[in-house]
Amino acid sequence: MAASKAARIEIEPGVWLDTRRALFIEPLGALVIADIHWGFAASHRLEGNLLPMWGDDQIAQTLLQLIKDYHPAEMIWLGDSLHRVTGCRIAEIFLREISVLPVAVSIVIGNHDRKWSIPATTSLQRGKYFFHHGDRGLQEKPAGAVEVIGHFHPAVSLYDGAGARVRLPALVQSPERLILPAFSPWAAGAAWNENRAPGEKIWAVAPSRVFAVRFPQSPARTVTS
Amino acid sequence: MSPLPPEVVASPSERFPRVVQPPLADAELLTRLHPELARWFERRFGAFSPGQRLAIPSVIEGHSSLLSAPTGTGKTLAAFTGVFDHLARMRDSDTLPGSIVAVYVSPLRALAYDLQKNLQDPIRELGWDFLRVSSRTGDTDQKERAAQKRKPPHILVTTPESLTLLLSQPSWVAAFRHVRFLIVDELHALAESKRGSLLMVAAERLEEIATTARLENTTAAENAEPPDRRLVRIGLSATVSPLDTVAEFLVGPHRSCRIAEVTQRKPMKVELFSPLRSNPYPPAGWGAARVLDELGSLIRSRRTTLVFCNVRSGAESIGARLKLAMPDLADEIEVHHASLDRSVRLEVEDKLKRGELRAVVCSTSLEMGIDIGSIDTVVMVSAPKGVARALQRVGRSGHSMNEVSHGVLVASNINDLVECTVTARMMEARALEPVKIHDNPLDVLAQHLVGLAVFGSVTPDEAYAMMRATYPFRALPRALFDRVLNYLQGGGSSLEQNYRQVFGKVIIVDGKLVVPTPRTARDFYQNVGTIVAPPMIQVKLGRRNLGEVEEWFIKGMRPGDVFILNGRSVRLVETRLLTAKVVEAKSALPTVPRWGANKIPLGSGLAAEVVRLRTEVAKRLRETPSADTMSDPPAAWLIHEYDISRANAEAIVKHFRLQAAVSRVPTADYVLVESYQERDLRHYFFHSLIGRSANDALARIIAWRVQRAKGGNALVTIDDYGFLLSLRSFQAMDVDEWKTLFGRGGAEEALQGALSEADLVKWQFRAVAQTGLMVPRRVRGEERGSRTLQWSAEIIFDVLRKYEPDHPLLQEAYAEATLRFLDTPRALAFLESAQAKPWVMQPVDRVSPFSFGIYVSRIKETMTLEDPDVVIERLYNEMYGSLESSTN
Repeated sequence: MAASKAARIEIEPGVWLDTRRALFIEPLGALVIADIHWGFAASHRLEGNLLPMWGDDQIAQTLLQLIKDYHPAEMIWLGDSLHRVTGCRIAEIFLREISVLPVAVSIVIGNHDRKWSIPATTSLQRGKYFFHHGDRGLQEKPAGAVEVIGHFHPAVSLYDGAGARVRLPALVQSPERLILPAFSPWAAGAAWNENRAPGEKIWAVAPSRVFAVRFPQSPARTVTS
Repeated sequence: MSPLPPEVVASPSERFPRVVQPPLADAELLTRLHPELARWFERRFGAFSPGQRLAIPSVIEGHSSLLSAPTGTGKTLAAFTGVFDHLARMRDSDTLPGSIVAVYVSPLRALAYDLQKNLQDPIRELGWDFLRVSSRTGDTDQKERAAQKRKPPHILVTTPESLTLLLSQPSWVAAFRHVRFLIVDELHALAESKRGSLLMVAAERLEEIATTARLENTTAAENAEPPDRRLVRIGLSATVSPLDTVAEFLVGPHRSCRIAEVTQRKPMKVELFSPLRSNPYPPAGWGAARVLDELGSLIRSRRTTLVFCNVRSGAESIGARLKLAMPDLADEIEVHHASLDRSVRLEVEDKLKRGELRAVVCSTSLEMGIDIGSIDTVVMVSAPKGVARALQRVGRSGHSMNEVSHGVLVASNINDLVECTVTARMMEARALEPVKIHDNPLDVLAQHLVGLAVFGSVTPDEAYAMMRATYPFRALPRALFDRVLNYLQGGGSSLEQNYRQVFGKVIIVDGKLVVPTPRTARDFYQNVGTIVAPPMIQVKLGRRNLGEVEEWFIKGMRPGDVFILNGRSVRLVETRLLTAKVVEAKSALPTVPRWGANKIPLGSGLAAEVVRLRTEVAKRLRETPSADTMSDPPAAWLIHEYDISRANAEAIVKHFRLQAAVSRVPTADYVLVESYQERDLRHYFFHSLIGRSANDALARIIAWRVQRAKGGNALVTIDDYGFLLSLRSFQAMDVDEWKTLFGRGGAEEALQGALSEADLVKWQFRAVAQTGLMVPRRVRGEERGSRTLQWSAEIIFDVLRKYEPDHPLLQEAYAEATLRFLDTPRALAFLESAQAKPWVMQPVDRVSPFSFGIYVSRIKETMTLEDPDVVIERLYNEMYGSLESSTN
């Protein structure tokens, strides 16, 4: 079920994007995961949407497999780890389970999990990377740092010109910033095709491989976040 | 809960007896009516209409009845005369309750509103101020709702959704305890939609409430009362077929219903009009633009003309062009279709009623319903694709019992001319297409189960029995019912038991269906109904709401693009989340030609008749003219058979001769495949004349098999007359290979395979998930952005397909895709019959005239910048210009 370790690509020296929508920054030994949305189905059910109870087990299995594959020293949850604060139970069970493993977990708070009472932070600096969720616009990031954010659930729509259309989660890369795809299996993502700013590179994350998307023309508009 | 009605085993003729002769003479019928009502009726109308003569006696005797009669023949009054009679007698005997006695249901809010107003006049004239009439729809305001609850009306005018909603509220039950009549208007339209299924379950609950009330109030002796104390259901329907099925839809599989059909028709004149004259390939335009001049002079010669187009964009385009062509009448020509803002539509309807308009160009929006005043002439641009639809449209003219209905069928091209020819004939013969009723709509079932759970008093067995008493669920398997219930209890196949208590919409307590929290009921009340709007964007011109267009249409445009809405050219300024700002673009030509190509498929009966015409004409193409008349045999046959003009007949024959010169005429006797090489593409045209939704299913099956057999994708183009597969050279096939690919065996599996890779089912699922309350449309009183819905429905779909492929809502989405969007049964029937026929592969050096329509619809769908009509025109003359003279 879990993708093999080989299904990943080095998007810049030492930085690997895995098909499981995770980023591994080798020099830091850090595994970065954005927008997990634990408890998505359950919180929808509480709102009156009778969604199938699916997703949390898949999240747990995939995270465990990623830890096994990469042996990270630190795992960074980059905000919106919960869908609603009601999802904290299942997330905390998972955190307890992995507390025996040699991996530190750092939790960055996002707009969905502000009410979560757990030791967490709004931003983190590790080496040249500055981590925050991305929901509060531009942060006063240290000079020369590369921002790593989530929040936008970027995706890319691909067309074959004959009616077929696929949408894949994507990572948006520029020299100053990386926007991670959402880890949540429920997230379809927002097509980034039109939002692309000059100089941004888009990596599509297909189930079995990651590839750079080449666009035929120059981008139409600049990013509006 | 009362026991099931006894199983009645009776033949259709016993259960659905026809009322053929008026049972009573007019004078006698008047004496049967309450004297006040009889006096009023005589003074007001003088005589009964044929429908009233047939139906009123049945209704006053307490028999459920179906009255099928053309529009404008006094159907509604027929139903209400019986109701009025009953109410007056209740008043006389002092038994008139302070609650609802009759429920009138219409599919259109506007119609409900109109009727409520129309009932006020007779009540005033009768001086019956004891009667309360009130309408309840989604538009009814809070104050009015509260007043209705305090003091329910005697006659409740409502819609299927509002009725279901009221019946789901325990506090409203008392108001329905004395209900005696249920009148369903426009039954033919409701029977074909899920809204009708929703209504019929509501009717069953109404029956239940009324029966229970009587059982409580009467002693055992009184209980042996005659059946006329039951709920009397009255269905009002326009032209519809078969009547037995529609009657059974009305009363369910166990009750009987009298059927009154008005056979004495309103005089009707149907004309066929084609600007082609005798030339099938005139120089000006393939499309509808060609008919504008002639349409203009027709409008000038009449008082008020109603012009029907088959799609909304067609109505817009013709409306705009008419205004341009006749600037002096521009203010008296309006456009009407469902995408226009309600206020715009109402304004047009009011102007029409007041006789202030010379012409209204509409899509299907004015086919039904409200009395639209006096219309001289109904014009149908392009063949209406169905006989019932054509009759319904023509019935909108001469809208009173004695006036002549006048319809003009306008054929815009030669295929259209053939279709209009057979349509006119079948209208005369009233050869209607059978209604299509959707069995077991599982999303509707889910909704009603939650509605029943609100009461906390119904067991699953009772709920199941109640469903089975309705026509749409008459054969619902228990296992399917249980799966829907299991879903509502929060269980998927994989779900742990302990989730159920917290998260379901229904729980079972002491063997009864119960809602887990009051909020579940409140959420349910906000989401009753089956109408699912596609994502729409409001178009604003200044502060005015002009109308709505589909989100995907706006998404494909850039600021500065010009499109037509409400008969005027507008230029897109900017798009926001749910609105688009536009400015007037004067007479600029649209850069974006169309939206919402929601095309109506050709009815099966018409399709068969076109095949017959082709076969008969083909037979006569080689016969020599008879010496005495010197007339061409195929043309003579057409004139004799269809009573069309010589010019029209000659145009058709020329078209057939050209087809025979380029290729062969496809007939009922064999299957024709034309193969045509165009650069690196090989086009195969299949002349399967089964309507576009069946061809859509067929083409998907075949394209899937091509891919399996040869690899690579096949480009598919469909229309009513057949379909086109465009393949690469390496996929080329000979006639035997094709015949094999059209095998009947495994076709269902092939379609399933094809659909698993297409968005079609996913697209249907979105609506099903809303109706089935998986993703309710409204949450806590707020309408959810359609974007959110799209987002969640898409992923839920993928998740279910992977982890719970037998989920009932997934099954419903598949049924919706294969049976409603696609016409799979008709496609399968074609495969079956094709195997028994010889196949002929005909290579052609140009696209044959019969394939031209399919070929250009491919162009129409891919092109946006050049006017499609101009391009098609050019192509047409390139293809056949040189051949014309040789076939003359």
